[in-house]
Amino acid sequence: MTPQQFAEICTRIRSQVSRVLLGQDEIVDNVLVGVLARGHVLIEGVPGLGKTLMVRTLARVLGCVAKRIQFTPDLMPSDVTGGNIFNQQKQQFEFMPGPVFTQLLLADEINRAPAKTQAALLEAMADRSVSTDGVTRPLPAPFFVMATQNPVESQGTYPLPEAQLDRFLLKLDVTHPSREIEKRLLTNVVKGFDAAALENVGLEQVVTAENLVFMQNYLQQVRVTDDLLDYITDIVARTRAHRSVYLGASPRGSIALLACGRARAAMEGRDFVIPDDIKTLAPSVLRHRLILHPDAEFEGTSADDCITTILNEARVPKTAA
Amino acid sequence: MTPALLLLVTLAIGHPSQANDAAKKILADDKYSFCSDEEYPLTAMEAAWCPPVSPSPNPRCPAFHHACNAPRSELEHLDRLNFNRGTNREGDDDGEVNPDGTPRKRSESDPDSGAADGGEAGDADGGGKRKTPDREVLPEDEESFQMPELGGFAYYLFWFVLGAGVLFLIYVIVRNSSRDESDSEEPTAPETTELGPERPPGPSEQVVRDVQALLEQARTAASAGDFNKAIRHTHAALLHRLDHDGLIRVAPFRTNGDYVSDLKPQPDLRSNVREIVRDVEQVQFGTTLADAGLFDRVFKRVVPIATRRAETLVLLLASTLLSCTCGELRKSYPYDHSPSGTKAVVELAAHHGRTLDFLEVPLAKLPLSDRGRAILLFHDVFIDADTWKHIIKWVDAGNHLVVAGTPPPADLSFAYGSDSTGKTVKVSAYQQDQYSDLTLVVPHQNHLVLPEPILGSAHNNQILVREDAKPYAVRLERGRLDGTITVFADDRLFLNGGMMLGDNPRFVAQFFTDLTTGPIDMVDSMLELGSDSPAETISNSNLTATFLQLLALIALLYFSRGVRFGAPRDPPTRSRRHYTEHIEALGLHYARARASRHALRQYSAWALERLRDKTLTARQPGLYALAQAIAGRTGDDETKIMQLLVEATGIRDDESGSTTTTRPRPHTVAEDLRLMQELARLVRLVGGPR
Repeated sequence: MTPQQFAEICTRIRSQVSRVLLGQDEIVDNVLVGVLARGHVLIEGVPGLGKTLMVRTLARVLGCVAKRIQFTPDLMPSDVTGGNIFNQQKQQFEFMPGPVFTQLLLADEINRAPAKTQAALLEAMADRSVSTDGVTRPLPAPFFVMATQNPVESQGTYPLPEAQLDRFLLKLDVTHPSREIEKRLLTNVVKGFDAAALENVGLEQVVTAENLVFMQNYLQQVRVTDDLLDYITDIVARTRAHRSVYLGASPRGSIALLACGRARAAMEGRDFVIPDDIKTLAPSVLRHRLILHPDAEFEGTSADDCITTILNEARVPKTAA
Repeated sequence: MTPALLLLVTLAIGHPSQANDAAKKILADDKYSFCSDEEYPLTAMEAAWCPPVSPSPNPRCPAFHHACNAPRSELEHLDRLNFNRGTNREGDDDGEVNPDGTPRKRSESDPDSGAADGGEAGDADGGGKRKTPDREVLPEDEESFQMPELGGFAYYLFWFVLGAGVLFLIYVIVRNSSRDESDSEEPTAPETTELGPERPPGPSEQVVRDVQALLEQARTAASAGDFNKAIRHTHAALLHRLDHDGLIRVAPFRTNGDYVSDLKPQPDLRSNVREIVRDVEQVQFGTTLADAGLFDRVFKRVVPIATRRAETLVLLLASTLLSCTCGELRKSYPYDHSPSGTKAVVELAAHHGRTLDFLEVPLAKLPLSDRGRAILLFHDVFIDADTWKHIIKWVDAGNHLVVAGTPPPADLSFAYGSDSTGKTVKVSAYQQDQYSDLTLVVPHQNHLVLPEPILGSAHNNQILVREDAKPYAVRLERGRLDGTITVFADDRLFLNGGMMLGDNPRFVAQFFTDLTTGPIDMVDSMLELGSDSPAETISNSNLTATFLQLLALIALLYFSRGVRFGAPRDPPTRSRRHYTEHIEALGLHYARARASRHALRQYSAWALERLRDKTLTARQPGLYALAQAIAGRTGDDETKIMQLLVEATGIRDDESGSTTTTRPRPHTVAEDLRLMQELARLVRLVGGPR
């Protein structure tokens, strides 16, 4: 596969998804980065912005199996991972796989489940396998989780601990669409678009699950120069030294930045990473990995503000300035 | 010089007897428009040549007779500036003919020719009153700024360029103002990282921002085979060019993608730059090896962008200049070739083997070592007494002085008289002289007044030309080295206009031939009138206001464009107070109000609550359990902790009206501070404030 072929496939995927999801090109691009970089994505946004639709659309276009879990306070770990159930016919316990055994998983409102259930999912996300009663069962490949959080209803929620947030490759903020986009959306509905009946849209399956795994493996061939490794290290080191940041990004953050940079480079048809790849993705990769000092939060400083400052200080490799 | 060459030179030189024909050929040239253009705009003084010029079968200057009936030139101010013969010399300032009331214009170009004239206007009484050729005689309204004459297209182009410049300036100011605002609104955290801002480049990595220098460095590197470096310099040249144009903002933390994004308003340029950047990045971050082909491709695309502004400017200036030139050529009457100029005389002298040129050294510095040189003083050259003495010495040293209109020094006993009639008359050569068969014609005004003793001693005074009994030109011999002084009543014989009539060309040719075999230097009133400094030149040309306006515009542009125009500087950073500064300010207010007790009460309430939250799992009333828990966590003495808690509780409840205080409260600020520090220590030991 050449970089151009890789980019062409990504372009086709984007064009198919954009037939259903209007005005969310950047989110779709970042989700695709997460998929290709073998990561998981946490999306923060109010309900009704098309998160479920995105997963279903991606599943169709990518040729993957998709499932959805609505997290609630009474959701148990076994409801996610599955468990052993006694089969009276066979007189033995049999493992009933949970919804996590899928290729694309939408974990809706993940912060509404108790920590134990969250931990079960997050462990599966990290290990790409589920261990039950001493038996480890691998999850299908590719495995991609898109979890969502609702930023406004915080009552009765279980905020994800920082250590578990770190397991997400990207955190994306979804906002309301513009008036123009919303009007186009309504126009589509008037014309008969039904989000529940995607099969009527005529989406084209661009790749298969096997192709997707091949594309994930292809990213290893994307070149990264030492200058760029220094750039990544510099950015992440600055998050730890920033005075508004109580806890900076971990080395996992550096690795995530590198992986995302490679994915973006490949999506752009390049077999090498450039500083733009890193700089563009740094906010999405790092924002959920920073814990700010309370006084900084008191002043209204956000993680994105800190990252912007850091990116405005870190010297870009081979700059002409 | 070989005899053959000498013979050729001698044959090439005309004989004075043929000077009239030679003058006719010279004046037949198109550049002497007054002889070919029947609509030639004469000045008032030049019109004085009209009466003696009558229609004849074979005139030397065919069109001049018709030009006399054409509308006059409006070049009045030139007369007054001594670029021309003063109209008041004739006493007919308002006798200028201008029938239709729309006088035609004559070009003011060729200023050095104007210097040949040197006519001073203030000699109306004709009494030889010396006046400096300054501009004090100018009326006030003549000092005002006047637009240069422009052709049709140039006129519109001039105003278009001017309007576009003003609009561009306004646009730049507005754009930069909005950009400054947007820059200041950029989200910046209050604190920088402890790593600090990026270190500035050291001496070894000095950043070059000069586009041409970068392109030159790129060429040099390419010729040396270092294509990586060449492409890097080319890339830098592109970015700095765009930065100088204000299209992008180059900074160490900005990527190529940022620069391309900056170019959104210019899609064509943006796509072009994107292509260039892609090639550069393939070399910098990819596996592509830089070679001559890639460098050429990048360089050829960068150069048009890096130089397009300059090319546009040059093209615009060139077209403007071209338009101006074309416009002026349409109606061009160079002064040097006018009747008041001297070019025809110079050509005639050259035809007869004499070289006439303008003197370049001051008269006071004429070298006394000269021999056989001649100087022709035109009308009203300002010469002070000391300079006259030096000139006389110079003549006594064997040189020749021709005074044509400038009053000679008093010790020569010459004076100028003038006719009240103002008519043009013929003057005749003196019968006993070598010019006896010549008839000279000039518009008559001045004549020489010679005292009798000088006239009587004719052995060293020779009247060359006279009109009736009045001398017109007299020659004096001076010194033992054949130095001569020749005084003319005026300089009209040595002007182009004089070449039109009678035997004037023959006289002039013969006179120059007899005068000297060496060079002849002309001196007019413009000698030594050059400016001493550029500032004086600007002032003399009435451009001071224009230059000041330009400087003001430059200053305005500098303040408007800032980094784009002057030295690179960072955008102003927003200053925001840190949280700790707020706390310090609050503490300062408390201290000034001597409110340590109030602060202690607030802190005690908070610390007690925090200690309880951190150490007790259940809600247990009383201080004893709390003291036990803290002692168990910290290892401190339980009794001391209990005392501290009781003291803190007393302070807290004292202000709220409780009467449970069991210990006298501290009365000093130091005691308040001590108690606060001990509480803070406990809070820290049990797990911190959070």
